[in-house]
Formats: sequence, structure tokens, C-alpha cells
Amino acid sequence: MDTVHDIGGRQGFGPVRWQHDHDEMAFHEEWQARAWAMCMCMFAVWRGNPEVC
Amino acid sequence: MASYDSEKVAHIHKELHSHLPPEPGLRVKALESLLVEKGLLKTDAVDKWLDNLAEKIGPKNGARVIARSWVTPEFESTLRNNAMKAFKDLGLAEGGGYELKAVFNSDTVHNLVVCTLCSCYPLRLIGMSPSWYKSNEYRARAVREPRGVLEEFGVKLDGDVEVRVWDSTSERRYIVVPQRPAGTEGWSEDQLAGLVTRNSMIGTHRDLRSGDGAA
Repeated sequence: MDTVHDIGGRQGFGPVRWQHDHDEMAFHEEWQARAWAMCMCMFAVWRGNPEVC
Repeated sequence: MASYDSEKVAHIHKELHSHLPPEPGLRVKALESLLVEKGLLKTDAVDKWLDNLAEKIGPKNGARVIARSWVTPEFESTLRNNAMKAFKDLGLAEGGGYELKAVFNSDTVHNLVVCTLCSCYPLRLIGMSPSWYKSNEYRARAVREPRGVLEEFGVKLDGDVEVRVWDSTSERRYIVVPQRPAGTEGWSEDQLAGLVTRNSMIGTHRDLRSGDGAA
């Protein structure tokens, strides 16, 4: 795929900032978890499985 | 030409934003209420998703599969040939919807997983991906200079270790199977699972040590 989304190999990026995320926690704030869960629900609705929501 | 009053524009802008809750937590709450009101979301749906995430999926599932493969050669062969089946055999896979390939590290090979297009990751099997996995820096550089990226994560490879980078798609995702650490002969599967970290299943961690694990 050759689109704006495909950034594999693109130059000019700095170091990967992973240190703040080394503790393996999926979320650091409750609202992040809830926003994620809402996205998953809307994804299910979009895919035609609204019963899970 | 219409006159442009920047102060007026700034005022209108501020006024519009003043109707939004300032904290992201409040905004998320408002959004959730709105979705429930519109009938798109049941009131307990978000809590159910989060319970599911906390109880059923997470890096520890991958750790269990890997530990089993370390102690059971037949299971290792299942993991090599049909990784999704390996998860299913342990009762750890629901649905799926994509192919899963397990890639094995060895003394001479190190594997690294990325999604250069977006953020594809075996989420329903090993939980949420870390935020750096979705960053432009990681996605762009993991394929151009994987050794440099690995060094930033503290993984120093000898020059004769081959690096294989696997680019995920929504149809095919990957899990790295790290090497079993030396000196763990006779350990139980649970103890071994305790050594496997989330990052080791992505490939940004290579040498497992006691006390690092996700399980």
C-alpha cells in the first residue's frame, strides 16, 4: 500500500519514547480505558454486532 | 474585503470551547452519556468491555502459551504451525478474525513486530498494545533501522544475529516467542510464564530474566 498512512521506512523521526510506558499498564487514566471501550463498542456496532453493546 | 478582528475571533473560539468540559475524563463521560441516550450503547457495555479486558485478555495469555511451548514439544509445534490453534487449545482465543503467526527467536535470529500502516496487534489475545507501538517513530524506524530501535530499548545484538522485522496487517498479526532463559530447568509452567514480558512478545525485549514477567 502506498498512501499517507504507510510510514514504514520514512526518515526524519527521532527516538522511540517508550520509557513512560514500561510498566505494561494498558491505561494510565480511567477515562482512557472508557474511551477505548466505547471505541470497541462502536466498532462492533459498525461491523453489525450491536448485541455486544 | 470583510474586516477581520482577531480579538473577536479569539473570543468566539473561547466561547465555543467553554461549553466543553475541560477535562478529558468529563468529555469521555459526556460522550458515553450521549451514546447511551441515542441508544447506541447499553449502560453497562463499557464496564463489561473493561471487565473482559481485565479478566480475560492480556499479556499473561501470551505468556502462558509461550511457557507451554517451552515445556511441551508437541505444543511448540502447534504454535509454530498454527498459532491461533495454540491459543484456542488453551482456551485463550475468542473469535479471532485474523491469522496469527508465531515467530521464534534463536541464538542467531531476533524477531521484531511492527505495523507500519497503523497499529495492528493481536489485541484480543495478548491485550492492549503499548502507546509507543502506535507512534510514528516506532512505525517508521522499526523497518529502516531496527537495530537502532532495538538499542534504544536496551537490546544489543551481536552483528551475526539476524534481525527479522514482521509488518502486521489486519489479516495477519504476529507474536514473538522469546528464548527460554538458561537456568530455568525444572521450573513450572506458571513460573516460566512469569518471565515473559509484553515487550518480549513484540520483540523489543530479548533476554528474559526472573521477575520481569507479565503473568
